[in-house]
Amino acid sequence: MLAHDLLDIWAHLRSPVHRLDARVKLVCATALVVAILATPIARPWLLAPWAGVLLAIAAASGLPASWIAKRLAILAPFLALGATALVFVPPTETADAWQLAGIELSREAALVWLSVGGKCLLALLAATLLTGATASADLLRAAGALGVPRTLTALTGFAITYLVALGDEAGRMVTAWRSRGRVRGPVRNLRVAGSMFATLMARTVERAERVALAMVARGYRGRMPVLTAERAPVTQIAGAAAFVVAVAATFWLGVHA
Amino acid sequence: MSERRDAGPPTIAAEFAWARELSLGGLFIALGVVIPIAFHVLGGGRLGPVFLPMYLPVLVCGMLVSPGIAAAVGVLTPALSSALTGMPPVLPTLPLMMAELGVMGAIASLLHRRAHLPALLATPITLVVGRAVLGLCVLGAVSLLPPDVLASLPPPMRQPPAYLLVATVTALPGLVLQLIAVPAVVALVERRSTASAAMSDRHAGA
Repeated sequence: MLAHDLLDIWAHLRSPVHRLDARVKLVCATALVVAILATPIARPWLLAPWAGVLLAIAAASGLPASWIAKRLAILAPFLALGATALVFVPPTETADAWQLAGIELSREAALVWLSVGGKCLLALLAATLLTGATASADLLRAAGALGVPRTLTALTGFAITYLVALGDEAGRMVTAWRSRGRVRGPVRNLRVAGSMFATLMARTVERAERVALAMVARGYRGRMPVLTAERAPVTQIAGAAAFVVAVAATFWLGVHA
Repeated sequence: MSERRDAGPPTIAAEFAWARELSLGGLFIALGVVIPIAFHVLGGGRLGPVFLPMYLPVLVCGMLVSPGIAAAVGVLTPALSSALTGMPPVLPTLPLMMAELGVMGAIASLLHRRAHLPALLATPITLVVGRAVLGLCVLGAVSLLPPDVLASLPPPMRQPPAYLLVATVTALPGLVLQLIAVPAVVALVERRSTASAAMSDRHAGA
């Protein structure tokens, strides 16, 4: 069975963040991510205000903390790899050295690791909150309304649809494989996995072609017809403008202080 | 894309070709998100740079759709994957992959669909171009960094040629995998598309 709401699992909540217009959320999230990424790499402590803002939004959104933590945990291997690399960067001078459990670390390298790791973590948190608190269809419509090219929004829309369809198709193939009995040995398993992958690819391509034909037959011209174009409430537009100005001012003050 | 708009009202065939390209593009973006998740589950984030699982759908897509859509697929796949799954990390990998895969998608399409090179020949050329783009992007990124930040990076990352060499040697299994898998999958998909088109023609004739 298809689970069409797989990506929008928490989009139905009724928090203040969920009630905001998708365009407003998209503009605010973009401003925040730009500010996070533009923060000078040698001053990771400037990321603290953005972390505070995102934590406040996470609390207001009502999204389960365990779900957010699970989404962020994906970065753990990359952060661990960066932490391991720190050991191999020797300090350039005595003042640059930090002692940690008997290991001499480069202060500059540790700051870069903190900064890059923090930026990745906060950008992912922003994306997680945005996608968690907004239905994917609303997000795509908002992106289109804000001037993102139609090709990009259409491709993303198809991709989100196929994410679910692919998982479904792959699940059916794995069930069929198991019901026929497991094959023994890694080489034979690898051959089966290769055949399954090729079949999955060919089947889904055929499905994509059928979907395209059906959509053209229903009048699809790169965008689904919208019956009513809703305007974002003025208060929300004013709030978004104030948020963007506040982010820009905080960024400027942090960098030039 | 602009050609399509300027050339007057499109025919049904043109509309179908456009929708088919969008549909296939979306499918390969989805594959580009799902396949790396499988590798991540197996290898905990270490298998990605070795087997380059995101490259396979982008390269196959490049050989099946027009250059514009292929470039968009190359740019969107890592961006969507990063937003939905956190892989690749926003810094420093995501911008590098967006540039590399965007160019690789367009080149694969130009070589296979416009220049009619077989996939077996187009794949290695595309991979070489991709590595060159990666090297140029690293060079650009390194030249933008302040000297004190540059000094604090691990040694291979300070010099783009060394970084490119390390990245390429690490990814050798993945590059070999692409050389084998991409032509095979493209041939399989093209054969099935031709077979189904011939069957449709037969039914239409009957």
